[in-house]
Amino acid sequence: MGRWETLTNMARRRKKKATRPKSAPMMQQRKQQRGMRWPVLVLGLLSLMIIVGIMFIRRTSEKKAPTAKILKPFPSAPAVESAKVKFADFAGSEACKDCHADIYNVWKQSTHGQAGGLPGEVKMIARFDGRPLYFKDATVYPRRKGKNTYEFLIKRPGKADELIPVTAIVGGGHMHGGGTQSFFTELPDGSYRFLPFDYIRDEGIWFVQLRKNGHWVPISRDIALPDLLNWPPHRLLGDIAGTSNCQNCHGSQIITEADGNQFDSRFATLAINCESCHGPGKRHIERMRSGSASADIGMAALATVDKDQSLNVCFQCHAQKSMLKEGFLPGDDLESFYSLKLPILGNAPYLPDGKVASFAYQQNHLFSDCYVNGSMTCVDCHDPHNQGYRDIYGKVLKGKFDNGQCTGCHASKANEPEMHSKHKPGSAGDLCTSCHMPFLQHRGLGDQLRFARSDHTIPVPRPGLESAYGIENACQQCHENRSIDWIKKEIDRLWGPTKPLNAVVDNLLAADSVNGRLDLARLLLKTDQSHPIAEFTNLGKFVRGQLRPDMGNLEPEIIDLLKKLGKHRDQDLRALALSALHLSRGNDPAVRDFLVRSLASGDSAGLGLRDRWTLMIDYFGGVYASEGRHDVAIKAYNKALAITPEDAVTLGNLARSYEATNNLAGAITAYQRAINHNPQDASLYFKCGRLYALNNQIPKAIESIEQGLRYDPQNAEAMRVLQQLKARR
Amino acid sequence: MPNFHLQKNEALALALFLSAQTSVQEDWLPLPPELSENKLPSSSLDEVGFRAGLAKEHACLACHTVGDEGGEIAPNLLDMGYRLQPAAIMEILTDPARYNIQSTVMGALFFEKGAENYTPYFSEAPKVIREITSYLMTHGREQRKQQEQALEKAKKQFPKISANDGKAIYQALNCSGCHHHSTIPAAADAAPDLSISGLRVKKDWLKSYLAKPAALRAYGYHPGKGSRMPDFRLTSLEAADLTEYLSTLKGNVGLASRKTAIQALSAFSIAKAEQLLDDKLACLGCHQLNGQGGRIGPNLDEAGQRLQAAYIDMIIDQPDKLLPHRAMPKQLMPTAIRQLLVNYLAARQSAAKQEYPDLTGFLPKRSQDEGSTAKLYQAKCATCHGSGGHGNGFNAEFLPTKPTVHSDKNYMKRRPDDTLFDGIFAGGYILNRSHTMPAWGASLNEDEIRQLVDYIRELCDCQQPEWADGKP
Repeated sequence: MGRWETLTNMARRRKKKATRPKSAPMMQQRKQQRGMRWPVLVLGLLSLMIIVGIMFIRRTSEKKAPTAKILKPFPSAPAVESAKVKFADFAGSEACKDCHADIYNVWKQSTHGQAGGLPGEVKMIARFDGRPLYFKDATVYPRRKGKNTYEFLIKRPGKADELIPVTAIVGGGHMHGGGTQSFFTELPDGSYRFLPFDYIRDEGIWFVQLRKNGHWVPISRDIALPDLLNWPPHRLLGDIAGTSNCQNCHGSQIITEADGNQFDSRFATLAINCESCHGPGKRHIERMRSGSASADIGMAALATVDKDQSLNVCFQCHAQKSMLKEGFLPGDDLESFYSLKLPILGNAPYLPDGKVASFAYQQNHLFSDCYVNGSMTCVDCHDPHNQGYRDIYGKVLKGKFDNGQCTGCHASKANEPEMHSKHKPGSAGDLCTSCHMPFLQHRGLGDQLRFARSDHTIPVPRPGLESAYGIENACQQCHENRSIDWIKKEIDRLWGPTKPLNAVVDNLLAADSVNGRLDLARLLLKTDQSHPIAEFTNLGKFVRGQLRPDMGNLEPEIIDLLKKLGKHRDQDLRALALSALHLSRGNDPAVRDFLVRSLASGDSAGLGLRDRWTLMIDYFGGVYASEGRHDVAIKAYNKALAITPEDAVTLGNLARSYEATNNLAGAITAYQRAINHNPQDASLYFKCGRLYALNNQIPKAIESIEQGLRYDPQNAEAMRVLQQLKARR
Repeated sequence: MPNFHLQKNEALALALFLSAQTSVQEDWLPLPPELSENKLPSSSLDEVGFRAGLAKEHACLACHTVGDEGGEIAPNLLDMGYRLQPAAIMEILTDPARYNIQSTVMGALFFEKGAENYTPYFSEAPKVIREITSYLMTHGREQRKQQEQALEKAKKQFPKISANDGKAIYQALNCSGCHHHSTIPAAADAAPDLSISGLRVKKDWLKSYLAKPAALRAYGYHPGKGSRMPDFRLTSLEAADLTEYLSTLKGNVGLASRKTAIQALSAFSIAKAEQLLDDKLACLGCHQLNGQGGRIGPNLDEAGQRLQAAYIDMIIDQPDKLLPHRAMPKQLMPTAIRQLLVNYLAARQSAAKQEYPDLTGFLPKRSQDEGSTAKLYQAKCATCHGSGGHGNGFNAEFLPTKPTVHSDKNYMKRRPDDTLFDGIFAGGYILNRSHTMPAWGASLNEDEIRQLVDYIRELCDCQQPEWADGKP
């Protein structure tokens, strides 16, 4: 009941009083109407004044903060589940061979066709010759037991020998900038786990990845097995929330599901098969075999999809992604299952202009001018079947360095490219790719082993900026002994002023010298910029630096900018803007109204807005928690839970922050909520039990652990804790 | 005189233009002074008397009809009262050769043309001419009055129409193709090449078309020029005969050796072709199909009914060989896509119905810049981008996206010259713009494209951004 209703009632009552004549019924009063007129007019005027007065009061009261907080609750997620692709919908590449033999044969020899497989299916480049690899605390022997049987023998002093069979091979050292081969083993729990021993083709050695910094280094005696990121083998093939995983990229139709403490791992092949790009084929085969004449042949013509749809076929794998929900299979809408931009907030995979900062894939193509102001997709250059190169008209090119990849669109530079490149015709410097797609080392892997990928931002070379970031520039890849200063002078001499950076990227760089929240907002939150990934980066920087949960106030102009971004076509940008509003001013009724409406329309569009929103706020909560600001983190987590109440990951994060602020009761409640939604997750019971114990609620602790052991009976750690608790009782 | 399907305002424009054509040729001799309009007697003859007089003394009735009698190879003289001015009648009778340029069928019966003047063949000659003229002017008074009223009414209805509009229409319809005009020549290459008819169009279609021509290229064979196929009112027998003859013409452009096998497409392939045409290929920027598309080229709905398969194949693959004025730019594409398109178009069999647009609405009225680049821009670009680059060419309203406004200085000064070059060369799609802007790189050479970029700079009165100069 609000002020408006009571005022209306008052007005109605007053109005009734005013217009009800005291005297006899109307019919008798015809003669007296003239005499009656004057008072009626006054009373009518009075009622009018009252109504106008009410409207005036109502309008002014909207401007002040209302004394009662009328916050609309967020709508709960709709029950409707959109159509989902299932593992059984796939037929396997052999089935395509019957009708599409020429394409099949070409694909089979390509890097995709040879991307991985079981021992015997692909070429082994790693040396399983039994020669020892010496670690500080172990010696590892890669051995070959039979024609297609490979294994690692691990000897550690004072421990029993460990034999790890190689169940699957990924890679073949195909890549020009540095190619590797890796291995998986199947564990008794049904999962396929990534093994820590990799092989690199060019250097011809075995190598490992360090836990402390993620670098790839040759094996040496100062490295102990616990120093390895991937020891003991934990990273699993497949994509499960909350676990370390390799997603579902190194193979085809990988579906791994957790069932208690067991895993069900399925995949069609560890090569990249036809259906990885074309989607499930069973229905197509049925339709074609039945002789159907319908236009629906059970498969879309990939030649007709638009730029973003085409890119997403490749971005399934060739992109860092944050998982929104599990179970993606080719044919599903990629961005309903993954956010392609969210990793920017966490791992900071890109520099401001899109170059790879740590370890990433080719989705930084989204920063290239060829994408932002052009129509470029992966398949404009890459033949998806034979992995060869071609121009935009389909003409086959000699290889990855052929200028034809560029001059189909950049015809102005086709004849006499040396006029543009300023390098001798026929020299390496005269090739477009030498300057515009240099091979850059993935810095997250260190620089001891060469693992470089060509820069798909296809940038204008800016050696000054690049050296400020500490990364290689194209010029010094050939002109090794020249200084940056010399190079900058040469560029000025030969080309004059350099093309300005894209305005959005420029704004991000300029932000560092701008103070004041409003000025920063005007710089970083511009709308209609046509560069979603850079806009996302800018918005992320703004939220990180300028917004806090439940801020006292926020400038209306900033709220407006965020609202505009909250209506953006791009799903990630939209979700981040809405999360920002929710985080900072979600308790303001006007903002809340907007958020509730946005969430409802996002649900009906069915494009994963809700999942993104939850994940983004949870991410910011994690940032606050890592800074020790747990009370702020708790606020954030609770907001995320307002959107997705059953999110187990967020509930776990919430519990941890409660515990850090000594609110054990709060932590326990959080775990109980998580258990409600995920009653078969043993780890939740164990965590809850631990908290009960800390809170001196021993009987409840015991009960919790016993419940957990029902779902994970072999858990030794849990059994030990249970014994201890029982002893205490 | 065939039917050009003119609307009232178009006819008015032409009339205003033609009636302003009063030039006197240098080599014309002065007419005898007795033959002036002021000296015309009033006539007392009647038709019978007139015929008798003419038949007795002169040979007129051998060719001309007078009323119901006379020869049939020259016009009915009784129409002259409302067709010709009296001065003109006297002119023609004095010197028939003055207006029959190619062949002088009408003999000079009254005067002999000398080097400096006309000498009468007989002394009564001027008097006879005057009498004939005044008699003829007694006929057609009603029609004359009606014509004058119709003209006034038309002028009131279309006050903005001028002789200039008429001149543009005269040139558009290529009247000089049949009529003589001392300063406006006949246009060359005004219509499709008939010497390849036998391999170009299908016989059945050609026969019905010749009997009843319809608008195929509503805005003209050269897009925007407004030419029309006139209706010669052929009988079906005449059309059939003409078709037989035209079908024997095979030309020598490589069509004969082109073997194109047509396959019926699956529903899937049809849907794929339509999606490519909707979203990626440039065709519908110029052509209409399934109710949408441009008006620069012919409608594609009837392509399969009208054109032979090999022609469809070749015009997509090598349009420059078949269209000497390069109106259709070659679009590079994988062979498989071209085959898909050819099969798709060969199956398009519906009859298209286009109306001729109002010629006064889109023909340029001012005289055009005569430089070769300006001509190139007018021919290739102005159809969409407008003759001044304002984005308002006649085809612009049929496009899904408004064409770039080349005259917009603020916008154009941010675009490098190389980007403009690339867009012209490779089409709009690669610039993340509309796919309906075609690629010209396979039809125009580099110099022409560079000149067009320079011309666009004139239209916007601006230069590229400084950093794009590539100069220190």
